[in-house]
Amino acid sequence: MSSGFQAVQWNRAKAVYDLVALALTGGYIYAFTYFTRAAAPAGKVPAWADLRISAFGTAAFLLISIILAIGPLARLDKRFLPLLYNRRHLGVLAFVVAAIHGYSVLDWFMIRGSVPWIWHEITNAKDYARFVGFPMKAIGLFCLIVFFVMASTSHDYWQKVLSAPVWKAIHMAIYFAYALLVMHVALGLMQRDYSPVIPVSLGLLAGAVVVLHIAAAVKERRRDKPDTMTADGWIVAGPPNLFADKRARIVNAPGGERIAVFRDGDTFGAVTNVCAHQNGPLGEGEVVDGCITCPWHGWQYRVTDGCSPPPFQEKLATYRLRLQEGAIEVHPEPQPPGTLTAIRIA
Amino acid sequence: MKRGHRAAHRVIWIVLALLIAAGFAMALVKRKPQKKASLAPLHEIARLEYRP
Repeated sequence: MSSGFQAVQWNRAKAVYDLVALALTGGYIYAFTYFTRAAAPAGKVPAWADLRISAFGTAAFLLISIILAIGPLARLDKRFLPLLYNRRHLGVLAFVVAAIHGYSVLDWFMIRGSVPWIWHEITNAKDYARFVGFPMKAIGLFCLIVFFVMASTSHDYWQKVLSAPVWKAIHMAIYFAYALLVMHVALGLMQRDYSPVIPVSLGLLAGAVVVLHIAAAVKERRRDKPDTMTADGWIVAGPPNLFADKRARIVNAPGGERIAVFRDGDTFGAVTNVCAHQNGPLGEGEVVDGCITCPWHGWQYRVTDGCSPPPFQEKLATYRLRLQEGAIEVHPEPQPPGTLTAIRIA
Repeated sequence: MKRGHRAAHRVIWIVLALLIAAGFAMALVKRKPQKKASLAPLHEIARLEYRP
């Protein structure tokens, strides 16, 4: 949040998250090299340089697939939310692993004195007109550049400097980079290695990522149905006893934006459903110490007026509420951020 | 997420699903026969094909 700048604000959850991510990635790379060497027939044991390319390449692809699956998984099942909390750390780790893969390829050609061939492959214009034979290293290099831009701007500092919409747009490039990454493997390794493991695992991983995103989109689409409105233009959120304490009911404003109506004991407050940090779904969070807590990264806002508690300065648009014929109703017109609009119902 | 962001996500993932499926299927179908493709290891291919 914006009270001051600190490079990284570490806490126990972040340290555990990073240690587990590092241990699992290291364990995968070790297991990959160990079992590949163990399974190879005598006299055909792959060299370390070859193994390093495959181990780090597959690890990077796995990590990026997992990163892309976390978002829809958290939308479909709240138990995956803890994985979302530090997803950016996983993104930086994926970039580092992908960069080692890239360096390993370069090193492989350096050992053999064939480095100019990489340049020849990338700059050979004729190959760009082919499908099989398309310069897959150029695709890989392009993906690595995209991951570098994303990893280097992953800090909140850059989000503040670039503004949330620009930052979000840059980071949505991961979707296109992922599609290219699938083609990097399909036009590279899959064309040379005829083991069925490669197309099967590539198809399953990419298929799972795509299916999860579409399933989450379908779920969100269902939620976008407009809510009942009164003749004078208020949205009916429901009777107070239907609101679970410390939780919200989400209603849809006529324009399609969502409003989160929270209950904190006998206090009811309505704020935009969009977190000021990364557009997280505030209505899926809970109230902690009188503050709405975003389920994505824990940013907090008071239920009563949508302001972050001091010393933080973020403010959310709030909405007027009323109790009419035993039901809480919300006016869809947003109030200026930080306006006190909460009501108390005895 | 804002409404526009949700709508963009829906469109992007449907387009990506089609592109990934088509690209993957084409890469499988157009794969060269096994014997021809495995004539030489990668570094030999690199040496044979590279003409400064």
